[in-house]
Amino acid sequence: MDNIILRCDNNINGIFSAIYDAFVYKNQIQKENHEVYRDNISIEIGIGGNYTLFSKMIDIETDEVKVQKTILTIQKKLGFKIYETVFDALCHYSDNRATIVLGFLVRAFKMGQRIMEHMTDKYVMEVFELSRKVNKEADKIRGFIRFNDNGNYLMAQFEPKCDLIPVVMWHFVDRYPGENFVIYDVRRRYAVVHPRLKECFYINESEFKQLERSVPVKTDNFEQLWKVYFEYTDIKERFNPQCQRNLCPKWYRKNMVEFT
Amino acid sequence: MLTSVNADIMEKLKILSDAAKFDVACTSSGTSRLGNGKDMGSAFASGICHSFTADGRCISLLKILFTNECIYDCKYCINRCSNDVERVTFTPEEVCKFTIEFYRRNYIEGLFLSSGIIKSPEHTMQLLYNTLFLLRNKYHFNGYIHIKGIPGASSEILEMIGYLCDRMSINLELPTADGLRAVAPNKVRKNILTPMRFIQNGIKDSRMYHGNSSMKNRMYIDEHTYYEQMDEIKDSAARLSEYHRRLGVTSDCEKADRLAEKSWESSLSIKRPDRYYVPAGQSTQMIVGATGESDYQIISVAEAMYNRFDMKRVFYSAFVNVNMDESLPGIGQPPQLRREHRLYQADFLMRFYGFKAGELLSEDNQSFNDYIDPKCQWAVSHLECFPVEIMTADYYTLLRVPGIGTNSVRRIIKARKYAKLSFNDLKKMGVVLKRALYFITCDGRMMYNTKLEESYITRHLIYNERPDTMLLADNKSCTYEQMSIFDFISG
Repeated sequence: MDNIILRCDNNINGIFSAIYDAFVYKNQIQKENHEVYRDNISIEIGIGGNYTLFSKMIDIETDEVKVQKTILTIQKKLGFKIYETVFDALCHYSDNRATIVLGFLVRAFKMGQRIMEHMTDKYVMEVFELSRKVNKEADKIRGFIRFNDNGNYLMAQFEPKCDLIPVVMWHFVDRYPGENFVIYDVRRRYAVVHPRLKECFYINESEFKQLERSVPVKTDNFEQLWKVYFEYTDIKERFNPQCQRNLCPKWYRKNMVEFT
Repeated sequence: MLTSVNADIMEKLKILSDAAKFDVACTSSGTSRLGNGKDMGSAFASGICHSFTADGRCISLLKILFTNECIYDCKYCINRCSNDVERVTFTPEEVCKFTIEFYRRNYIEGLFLSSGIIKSPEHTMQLLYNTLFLLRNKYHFNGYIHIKGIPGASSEILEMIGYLCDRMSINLELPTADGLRAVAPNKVRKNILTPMRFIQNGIKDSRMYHGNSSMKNRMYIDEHTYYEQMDEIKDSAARLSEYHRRLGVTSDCEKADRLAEKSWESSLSIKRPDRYYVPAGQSTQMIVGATGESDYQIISVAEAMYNRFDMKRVFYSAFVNVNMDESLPGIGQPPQLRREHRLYQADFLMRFYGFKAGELLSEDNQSFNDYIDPKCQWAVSHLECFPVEIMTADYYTLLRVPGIGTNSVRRIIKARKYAKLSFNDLKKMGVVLKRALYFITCDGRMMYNTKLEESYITRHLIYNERPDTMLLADNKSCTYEQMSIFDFISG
């Protein structure tokens, strides 16, 4: 049985479409060959990636219907909690996250809702690891995002390693329902916009630049006050930069006002 | 909205944040509250750290004093009345503006308001109440608020303020009454414990009112405390139904909505059916190292606080002699950070691992080891309980193994239903094998050929050497051990 490599778009919808198709191919193979499925379908995200010998490359187009079907099936058959774990795992930056999630789902549909208890299985463990890493970063980011008030709306820029906007945005939507705010992911070049007391939506890079140009640059006085507070709340006798670096690694600090 | 910042307010912020920095307990955990869809603010159950200062402590809440004026003369405090420092006071509006504006920018998780004492405890508490009232009802702030209770304030004001804040804390300051008398001449231990008891009862009543049980399901309470608490719960249930009859309150949602809709000026009713009284529980803090208490005394007091006062947390703060007071220790010395750390470790063992204070330390052994943590210290002196078999041991036995925490235990128990676990699996589940390997067996085998012997394990835990290299043929690193005839016989 040949290996099959599915190649999909580099976003979450692309991956869900590929997962849908992967199951189609898997069932096809099983029907034709009467063999046990041996994880020989993998999903490659984005262009690039290596060609391997003896394998079939198939390009997958993102299809909204397939995405909805996949998501609904996961939620219905495995429950919302597992769907969340899978979603979080897919937000990780690892290149083979889609393959891992596929392997996980193959097992999960076989074993049912208690799949997370099979921790010794390689795929289950890896999905668990991925989602845990994403959640760890999300926990930090929820605290470390800094908004800047330019008079019209609150602006935050950040460069997370994982794709965190879909993970953390609900926290801010819930917390600031009455604020206009924008969170921009510098690395992945898209943003989420939340208009006051309305539903939020995504915008891409060019729309974001347009939005940024439309308001005049204004200094935010509270940034100064926050820096003062940050400086004066520190106890000199307990100086311990190593502990600080452990808890707030330097790569987070790029976009935090108190460190600039 | 405040747009221009004058130098005056900057100066106030400097002084009052500097004066508040020694208060520990900057946590925002304990309540989970979603936003209500129109006002700003929510509370996250696990708490969120927003920044870390150069001393490695987290900034979660905007921790400031309302004023640094004080009529008391406590020797450890920078704001004592005999110190010549610049005195400033915020207005309630200023505190609200800081909180709201910092909160909007995601700098903070809420407010931690403490205060020096102006005129009298009652007067000060009233000022704090006014601030919180404005913040909650005029600015509609729905985030986390931690307020310091001031010993000596009346129970009426404590009751009012409890419905506005999330957590209230009254500082125990020093573990023993003698210590308090020596260092804080104006404070009396009874005045500290009375409001604590009052808040505890308030929390219990409020939880009963909302149909919840008493505050906590702590892992361990001794029998005596249990019956004591059950009696108190019965009492409070009786008092509560009496209270309900008097007010004619029913806990229906409509009523709660009507109350919430009232404009803030006219909402004079204090007992609010839609809110809990001090929902995140109360906490307290102790200064470590200012007076001569031993670790054993300190954790015994902490245990009593947890069992008898239903504390959510007890915090420990290593003493820094800011006033250079001759009568107190520690001038020119670094604070006892290691000791503070060990106390926190012991504290967690008491809260989550089912240890009692008397197990960790005793009259004969009053202080923690500098080199190994309390759990390891307990384990090496109780080797009769080990090794523990991973595949069969129960939850509480596993919890007592060094290197295994609550999360790993939960994962182990789930995973072992389906597969035989190996040491490699354990490692992936988050068990710290470096410490655990001396105390566990997987499928009947130890990981390496280690001895179950106190001095041997202690040495390895301290020097953190890898046992597989230690037991190589040349036995190089074991040369300092005295050989005896018994080694030959047993070997």
